[in-house]
Amino acid sequence: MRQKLTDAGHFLRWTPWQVRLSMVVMGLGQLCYGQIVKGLFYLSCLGVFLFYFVTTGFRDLVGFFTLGTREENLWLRIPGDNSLTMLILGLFSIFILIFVAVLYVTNVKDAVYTARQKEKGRAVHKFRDTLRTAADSKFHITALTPPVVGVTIFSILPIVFMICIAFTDLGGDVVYPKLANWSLSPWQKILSLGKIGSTFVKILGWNVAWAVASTALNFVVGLGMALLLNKKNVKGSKFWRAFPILAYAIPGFISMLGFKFMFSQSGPINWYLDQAGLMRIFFLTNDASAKWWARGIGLFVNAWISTPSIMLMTTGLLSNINTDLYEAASLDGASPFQQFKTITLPFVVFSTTPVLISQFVGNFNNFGIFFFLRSGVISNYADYFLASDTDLLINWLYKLSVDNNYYSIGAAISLIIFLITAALSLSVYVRSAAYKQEDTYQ
Amino acid sequence: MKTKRTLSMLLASVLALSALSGCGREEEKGGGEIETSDLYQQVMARFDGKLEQGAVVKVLENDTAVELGYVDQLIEAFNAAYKDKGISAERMNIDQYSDLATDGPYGYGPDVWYQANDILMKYADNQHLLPLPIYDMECYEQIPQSAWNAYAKEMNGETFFCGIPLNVQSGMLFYIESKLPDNWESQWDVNSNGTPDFFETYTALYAYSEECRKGGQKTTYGYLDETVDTYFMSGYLMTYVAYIFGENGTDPTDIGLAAGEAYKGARMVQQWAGEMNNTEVLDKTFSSAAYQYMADGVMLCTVTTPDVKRMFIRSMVNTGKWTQEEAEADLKMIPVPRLPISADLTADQWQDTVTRMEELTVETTMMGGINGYGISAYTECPNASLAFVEFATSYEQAVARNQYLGVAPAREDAANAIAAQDATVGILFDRLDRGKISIMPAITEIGQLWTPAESFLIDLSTDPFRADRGEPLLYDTDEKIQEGLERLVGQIRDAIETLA
Amino acid sequence: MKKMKLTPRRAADHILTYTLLLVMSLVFLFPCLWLILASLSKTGSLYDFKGFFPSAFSLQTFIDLFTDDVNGLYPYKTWFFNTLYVAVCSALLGTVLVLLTAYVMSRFRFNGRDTIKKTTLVLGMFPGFMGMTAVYIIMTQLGLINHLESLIFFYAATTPVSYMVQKGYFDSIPAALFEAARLDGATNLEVFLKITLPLSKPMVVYTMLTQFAWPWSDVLLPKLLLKDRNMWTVAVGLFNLPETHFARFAAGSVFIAIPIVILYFCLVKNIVNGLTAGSVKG
Repeated sequence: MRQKLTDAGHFLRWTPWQVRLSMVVMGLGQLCYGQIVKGLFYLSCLGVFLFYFVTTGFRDLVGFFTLGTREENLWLRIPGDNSLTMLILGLFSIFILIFVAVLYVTNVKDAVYTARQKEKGRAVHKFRDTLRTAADSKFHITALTPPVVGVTIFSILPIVFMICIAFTDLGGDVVYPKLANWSLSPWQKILSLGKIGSTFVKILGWNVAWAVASTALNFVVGLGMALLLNKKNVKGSKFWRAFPILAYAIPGFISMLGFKFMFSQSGPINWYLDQAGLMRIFFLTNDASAKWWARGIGLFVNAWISTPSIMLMTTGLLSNINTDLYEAASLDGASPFQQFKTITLPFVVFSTTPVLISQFVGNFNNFGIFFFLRSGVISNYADYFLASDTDLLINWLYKLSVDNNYYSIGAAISLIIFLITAALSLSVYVRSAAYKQEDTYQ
Repeated sequence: MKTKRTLSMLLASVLALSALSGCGREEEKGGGEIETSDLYQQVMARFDGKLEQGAVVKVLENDTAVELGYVDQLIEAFNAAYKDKGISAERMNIDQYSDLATDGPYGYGPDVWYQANDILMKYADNQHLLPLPIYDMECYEQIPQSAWNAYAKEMNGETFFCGIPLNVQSGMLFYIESKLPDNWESQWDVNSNGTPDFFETYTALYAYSEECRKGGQKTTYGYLDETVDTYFMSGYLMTYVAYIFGENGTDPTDIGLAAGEAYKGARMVQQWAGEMNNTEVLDKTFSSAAYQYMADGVMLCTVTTPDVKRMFIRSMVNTGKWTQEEAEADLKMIPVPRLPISADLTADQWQDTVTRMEELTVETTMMGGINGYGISAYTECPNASLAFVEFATSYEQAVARNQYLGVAPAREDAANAIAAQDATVGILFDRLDRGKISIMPAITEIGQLWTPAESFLIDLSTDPFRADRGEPLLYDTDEKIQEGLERLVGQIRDAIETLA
Repeated sequence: MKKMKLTPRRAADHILTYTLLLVMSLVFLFPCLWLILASLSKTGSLYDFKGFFPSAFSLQTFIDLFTDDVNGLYPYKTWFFNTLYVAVCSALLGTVLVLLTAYVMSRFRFNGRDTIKKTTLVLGMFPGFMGMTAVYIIMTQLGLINHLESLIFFYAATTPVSYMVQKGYFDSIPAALFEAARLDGATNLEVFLKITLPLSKPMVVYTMLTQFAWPWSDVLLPKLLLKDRNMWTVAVGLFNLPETHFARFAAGSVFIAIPIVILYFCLVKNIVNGLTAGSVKG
């Protein structure tokens, strides 16, 4: 500790006045070193930030903690606060604060760097040099800045926002213009309301089963199709391959809606059943007997949509396998099945682990399939709370938070789901061969 | 008119005093400085009658009215009439089920919105819709109180009205005249009143539907309808004194779906499901299928609301068997048949139910809605919006709307004028007046009704098919139906209380 | 290779193989055929079909699709060009962003790299629509509601999260190539532009294609961000068509599917290469 303090003391005593200037006002030091463009850039960043913070930033920051103090009365035209907007603008101001802090540190570091260069008697970087560094040795920073900014605003900010929502009482009666408060009430409700809990458990069970079953099914069928098309005696495999590609290219929601109509109560399949003198089957309708039909159709439609891409992927992989391996195996008298078991399968599974994981996560959170196939179905109200028996957790979340306005409960549940999926897939991923290999690669 | 307003203001000030002492949570976080003594005046202050010069009123109308060209006509007429007064209107081309609570605060919502009362009033709860100075409006006295009540909203003890009723919606029986049996006058008009008996009582309709199923009629089915649709099927319960919420639909703590002899009505829904013996009616999409099925002669009649009349006509014309004029003349809308007092569709001889109608049957109560206009609280031009609403609810426009869309106006003068050519209008207005249309409650809690009720109806009307599948029946006795209804009430109550 | 004799065993294998192929192609072809049939229905209602077949055929729906927008309710032509605009722009912008990310993650070792890697992995697992309310409010603050640019920004900005496939591809390019170029004095930017990109054509094509295809099938977000019907994308418009307009739905679907299918067929080699490379190395 003491050592560090003395180090800091040394550092401060060493620093030239330009660096100290930079510590006080971002960019001034650079200006004094004659780095006009860079200095002006830092200065203007500081200026913009100060302007933002004085005009709205500070107010937004305070708003994040209060979530509004004055309730709006729309009838009497008494203006007031909007908790949702305040929450997100508050988060935004926090993000900006962090960003400026980082910028400040880089500014000081930059000034120190220039000072060191000068001490060593080297020329101070001109703007052209800075540009060159940005395109070369610091290319990674330059290149990553736009994606990171974009992802932060449109991906991270919304997610942090959602996590915050899980700790407010927003939703139900508490919607604009009523003011929200920070609160643990959604968690209390989830724990105390048996209905939500039991529905959660039921849906979670089906959700896991669905994710495992559909991932396995898609993988097996996709691999099967690739092997089939790869067989030596298949002529015109390009022609045969065209059919799955057709399915792959059609926008997913069209296929799903098409299948919905096909299996609907008045749809063609039931029409044929009717003509044959059989009873129409409740495929996707709101009836208890539809449960397994709808689940089966969901698996089928999902496979119809996703197997083509797996097929294409494994086709490429199969062509990468060293054919010598097969010939050696043939000579050893291995049957085609044994060859498949000992050569093809391990190779494919090994090299597609990351894809399998992302497929698993994708299927676990497959919102579209039952949203399109069984929209509006909420089955047996006594057993399922605002959900249908085919709903995955994500569909249930949608019904809770978007259709029924229970924002905070929905956010809390999605946080739980997220923790489960993230823990599961991170642990599998980190242990996977592909991940471990990464660092030995180069 | 004047006296009424003074009276209401007096009432307001009295109630406001009591409200001041008892304001609860809402006041916790400020907003407590509401001067309630002249609340009405304050709320209505922005309707000062000065038209906002250059304002363009954004009007969100319903899709069918747009599709059939009524809305363009309305807006053109309004713009012509108000050309000199410096305001105009334009159609807002967004989804008819816009979410005012999401879009409004950020300025993306409509100024004037046409919708059913339950949808509009959902937004009145949080003040997204403005209360309107209805006592000063030309249409005020023409519209029956029951229709106004669909738009009533209380604030600090005073009642405000957040919408202008325009038309009455409730189930009507639709059929195609040329699909009637040729011999109906000799075989199916026992009481010789010129109306087919099977359109007079459900008992007779049941008997006729059985005839159709045996074959030999022009249609395969007699009556087909979605037996899982809460809106239409609740009529069976309500006729036997059930209700949704107490206190005329304002008290969500009193849920009356299991009240009276509601189970008897539910039993008839089940009877129908068994008689229809068609699982298509257990799907919500059946209502869209119905247009085509009636035109194709699959069924003779169904019950639905007057606003979809044009859908039937379009389907008929599309088959190529009717021209537009022929279809319009051939499609009929009549009041729904009466229900048997015995509450059993097979207990009475159907001939008896028409000859001794008063003795054996009772008029059916149907759930209904009042479609109308609301004005968004986020509007920049309340006065221009109000001018538009006044224009659109005028006598001329109410008549025009009926001519374009076949809907039944809520204005008495318009209803009377049209009744001569369009009997439906008179019937609906009359039924509304006599309380045989039970208006959907205008409180948010109504949102919790549909899902559990549909769940119950599905279980109920799937029973006839359970037997075929060899499964145990869920509702084979009156007691079980009653239990089912009580469970339903419990579920609705749970949803209202736990998630509030 | 010596000529194989047609033994019974081989014949059985042939029959089995081709039966399976036939079944597979039928399963994939049939639903598509059905949609095409439906789009040619004369009455337009799903409920007038005799099984899979409309009772009468006509090309009218396709003509109506472009000429009759039902008083502005279903302006298909506008939807089509809206979607095309969004798809092209977000494909260009998104591809640039994701390629940059993937390249850096593949070739550079720097502080925070592991953090970025794990963060993106985790980000991909969040239920997307839970953040939609936030996206909506952000867009209102940026004044982008009812502007197609809101979609372009969102799609492009969120693509880098799934950079893994592209990174896998870059990983498979021999490092020696880069080192040689660096020794010749090329900057990292030049290496990226002049060596990496030309070598990654299949990957670039694959990335653009997937980026291009997404706006044609996303429904939820455009529905929230685009209010005016004249601003909708095809997916929102078709999704909102009532069932009584089934033929219009089918015709609209067929019409957008055709160009995408043709694109996929032309670029299938690139897709295979892209998918494979991406999966081999995570």
